[in-house]
Amino acid sequence: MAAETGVVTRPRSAWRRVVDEQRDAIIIVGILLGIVILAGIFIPEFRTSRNLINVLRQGVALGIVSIGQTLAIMVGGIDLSVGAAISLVDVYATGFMAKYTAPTMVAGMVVALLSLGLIIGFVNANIITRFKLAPFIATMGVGAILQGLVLQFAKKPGGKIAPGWEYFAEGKFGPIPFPVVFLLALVGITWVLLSRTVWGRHVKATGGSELTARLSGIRTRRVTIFAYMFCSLMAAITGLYLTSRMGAGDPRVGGLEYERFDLDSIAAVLIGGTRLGGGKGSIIGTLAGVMIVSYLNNIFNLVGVNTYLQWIIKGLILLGAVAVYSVRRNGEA
Amino acid sequence: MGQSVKENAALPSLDQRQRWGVVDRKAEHDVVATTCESLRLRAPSLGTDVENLSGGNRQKVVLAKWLISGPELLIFDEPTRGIDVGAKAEIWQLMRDLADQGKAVLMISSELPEVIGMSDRVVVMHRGRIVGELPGETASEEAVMMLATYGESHGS
Repeated sequence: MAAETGVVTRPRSAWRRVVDEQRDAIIIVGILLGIVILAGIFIPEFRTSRNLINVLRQGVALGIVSIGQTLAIMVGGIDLSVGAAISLVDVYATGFMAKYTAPTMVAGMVVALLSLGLIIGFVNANIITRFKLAPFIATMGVGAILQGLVLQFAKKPGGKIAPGWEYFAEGKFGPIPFPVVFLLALVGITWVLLSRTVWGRHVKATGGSELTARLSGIRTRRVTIFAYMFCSLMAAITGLYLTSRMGAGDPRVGGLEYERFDLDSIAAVLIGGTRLGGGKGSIIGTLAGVMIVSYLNNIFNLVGVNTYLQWIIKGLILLGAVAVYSVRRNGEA
Repeated sequence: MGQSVKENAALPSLDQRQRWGVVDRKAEHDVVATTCESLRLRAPSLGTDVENLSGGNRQKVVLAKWLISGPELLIFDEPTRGIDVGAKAEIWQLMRDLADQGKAVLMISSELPEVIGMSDRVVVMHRGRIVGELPGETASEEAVMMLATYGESHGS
């Protein structure tokens, strides 16, 4: 790159430059590989191909919702309503499919529920941008309302899925599970959106500094609204995916008892190196963060760590990750 | 300011280099590299985070942002405050060049030597009002100060 030489006063090799610019990504992938290799050595059950594929399959739900969460955090916010949004879509979908199973009806339902996702994001973002509420309060409130709607509709697990609907979670695309292909496609699309489009640049700029972005002529409110709509859309897709995986609906699937998709997705995004407060991060980092959280869940289960201890360890890892990134950044400046 | 020099400098003028919303990264690289070179920006690379640069170089990134967007009028508000002497001289030279190219350059500054040395036309303000205008050649510190304090002795 000859044009760049005038800018450079300390000449460095291309390799060195890549290391400098992608340091976060390199660290995170290194940690992921470390976990996988260590677990592979010490836990025989871990390295069976069935287990490895199973982890991928389980990671898909967290993966989809974390893609959305990445956008919400990147734009400078956070979305605590994803867990309840997942549950809502989950119980509505299984409630509907218990009565109607015709493909056209199901297709209509998918469109309606994805639209519901977009509306939830639109509401979140408007509360945040119009009333200047802290994103975590606004989305927590919306989440509580959504969880109320969920429990009003279904108090316990129930509902059904339409025949063929299980393909979403159980299908195979050649040797690879269909959901894994689906997740990678979403990651690819989001990667292009974030790093190659004007909109993606606007999201990063808004998260980096809303004022600077606005002064640079960016319509930051509109950018923020789209980011939250994208986030809730991903939550809605996660809800649909979970109905396929479990074959029935569950009002607590998104965030009350088993996995907490709100907190787990935030953990995955932050472990993946996206900066809390926005402006910096990557979707590939999030994917690595999702795999770290999924592998840890899997390893805990294989070695029989009890649920409470799992929670404590996960909390420590989240705090540790955020602390490490934050200390390193303050040191850089 | 979590972004790279390139992303930052390209931000206000993104729409000039896009197709169906996708950024033309080749054009972006070229225009940012050319502009940063002409500003003598010192950075390890165009991919370096702006927050890792010195004050003077950050200021140059800000300049690059707006130069790339091709404005006819540039307003510099205290452009050399808090940056080192070398970078100051470069920014003065840049403002001179822009004016010579026929762009309108409006510099706001409270540093008198800078005002006197740079300006073609000096407008003095006092308490939010214009109290006088001097051609660049005849502007001196005394003349400017006289106008600036005129309101103090005769005002309400």
